[in-house]
Amino acid sequence: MADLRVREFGLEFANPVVVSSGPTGFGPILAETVDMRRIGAFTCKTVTRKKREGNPPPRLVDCGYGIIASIGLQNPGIEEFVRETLPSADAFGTRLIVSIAGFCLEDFAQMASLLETVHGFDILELNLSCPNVESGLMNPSEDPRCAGSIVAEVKKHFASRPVTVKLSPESLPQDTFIRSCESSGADGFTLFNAYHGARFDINTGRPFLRRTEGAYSSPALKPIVLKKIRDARHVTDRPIIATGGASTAEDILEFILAGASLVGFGLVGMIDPEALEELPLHLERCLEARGFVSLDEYCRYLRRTAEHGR
Amino acid sequence: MESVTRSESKSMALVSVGHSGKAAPGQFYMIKCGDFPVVPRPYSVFYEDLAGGTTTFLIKARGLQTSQLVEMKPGDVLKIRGPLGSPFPSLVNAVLVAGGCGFAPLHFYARQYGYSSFFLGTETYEELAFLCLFDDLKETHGDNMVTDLFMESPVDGPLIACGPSRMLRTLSETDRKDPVYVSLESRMACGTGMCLGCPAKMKDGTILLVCKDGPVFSGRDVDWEWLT
Ligand SMILES: Cc1cc2nc3c(=O)[nH]c(=O)nc-3n(C[C@H](O)[C@H](O)[C@H](O)COP(=O)(O)OP(=O)(O)OC[C@H]3O[C@@H](n4cnc5c(N)ncnc54)[C@H](O)[C@@H]3O)c2cc1C
Ligand SMILES: Cc1cc2nc3c(=O)[nH]c(=O)nc-3n(C[C@H](O)[C@H](O)[C@H](O)COP(=O)(O)O)c2cc1C
Ligand code: FES
Repeated sequence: MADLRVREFGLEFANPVVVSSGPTGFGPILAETVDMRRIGAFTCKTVTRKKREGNPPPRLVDCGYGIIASIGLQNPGIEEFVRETLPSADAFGTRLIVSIAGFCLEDFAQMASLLETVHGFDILELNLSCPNVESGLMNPSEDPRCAGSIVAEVKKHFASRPVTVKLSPESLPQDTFIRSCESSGADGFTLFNAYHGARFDINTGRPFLRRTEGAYSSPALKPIVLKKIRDARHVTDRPIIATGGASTAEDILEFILAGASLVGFGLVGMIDPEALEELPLHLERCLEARGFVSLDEYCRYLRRTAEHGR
Repeated sequence: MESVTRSESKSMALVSVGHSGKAAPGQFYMIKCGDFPVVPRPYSVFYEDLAGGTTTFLIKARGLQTSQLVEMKPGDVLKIRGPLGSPFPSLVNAVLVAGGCGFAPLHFYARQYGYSSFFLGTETYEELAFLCLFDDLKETHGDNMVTDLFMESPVDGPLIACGPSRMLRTLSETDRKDPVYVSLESRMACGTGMCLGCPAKMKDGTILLVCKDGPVFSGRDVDWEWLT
């Protein structure tokens, strides 16, 4: 069997498959169907300082090639999360990423301080890109300096484990955002959250979603995200969890070739947990069919070939 | 897929698959056919033949997936996940009220537990003719609302209803002493309570999920203002 292990963020992952934050919630329901030890890492749904009810329905609208979701960060708040949710996620037996979002620096500082004292997870993800909440006091997805100041504040209070920053694909210029976060201490990046999307009812003239817009997730976005990962790789050498449009084992290889260190899967886990679980197995077969004994060997070989061919 | 029976103009079909998952009336499956649309959709069980090992769904063609489903042929492959969600309670002398495809879970209920009265409203006469599977069905179609039919000749007894939200709300808010159970409709993605995409708020403020905590709820507990 091909060796899929990856070393990033100073940690070893069993394979490069990362379940992205949100579509599969906090994990216990997914763990009923999926052997979580077969996944490289699981990211918990984003939590905020206070409990949030989330948006009124409809929260979902289908688009054929994908779906627009407007959940509005429904979550129990950081304290209940740490007390009730995190202990059960710790038992998944895979790398665990905790995701947080805030409405002001103080929110981030408080949550980071609390998480610093808590065991049972490996990486902290800062969701600076949720498209689905009413505007808060800060808008880090529009202001690179604001994004940087959040990272710096979190790093002041949270030093025990790596911090990855999840950006919006619409946070432009992308290189300025990445540099601002990196110089503020980001250990890596989760690129990207979903694009904004909307759909309208041609019979009533009204938007389908109660909040009009939401996060559009679709395998059709893959080439756009691939290109942006390539661009990001030119700007940073920190780990990148490439997220957006991946759905197959072949996609993992393609994202890695574009510059990803690990690959995030959102939609797939939500609509087909079995397919998610099989990704590492298919990846092994993909590599073996091409005559490689490890993912590492494949990456080194293809990068060398690509450089020679240029 | 084992067999398909279509209505005259193919606006509705009964689609049977070679699978039995010990579903109870009110439960549903997430179904995907081929690669498109990417996200599966929920369908209530119309009937499960445990002995024959088949599960049947009632499909009304109206969009990307349902228009494919009504055209399926025996041998075509569907990906199904379920049974999911909570079933209807089994009651003595229940009054059933169905709107359109809402007939599916109530048909299963009626075959399993019986009923005292069964009301059905459909959009067209063709659909009514297709679904007229019980001799004593009280039926209406087109602009005549099934809720009006029910109000004209109200019957006592616990009520079980499935159909459009407006219909369920009207029935839940009528002044009757007996309990009202409704199967809520909602857009879904995961169907198992992970994505938080299908919320329903209760009058006490709690947010529940239609796929996991429902689709069957006590109609009097639902905060209809928030939902509709
Ligand atoms: C618990 C549960 C049980 C269900 N059971 C059944 C069942 O037994 N049988 C059944 O047939 N259905 C059932 N449904 C509903 C079914 O899941 C949906 O009808 C299905 O998702 C429709 O899928 P589609 O791809 O055909 O429609 P989609 O293409 O997703 O479209 C959905 C609807 O929106 C309309 N629409 C699309 N785009 C626009 C636009 N731009 N403007 C205006 N209108 C638009 C379509 O015409 C259609 O009416 C159930 C739902 C739930 C929650
Ligand atoms: C239903 C749903 C909920 C999501 N919730 C979150 C969230 O809480 N936090 C977050 O950072 N991203 C969230 N996302 C975005 C995903 O993590 C991911 O970035 C996006 O879906 C793109 O990946 P995909 O193409 O593999 O789905 C959500 C996406 C969906 C579809
Ligand atoms: S459809 Fe995902 S929670 Fe109900």
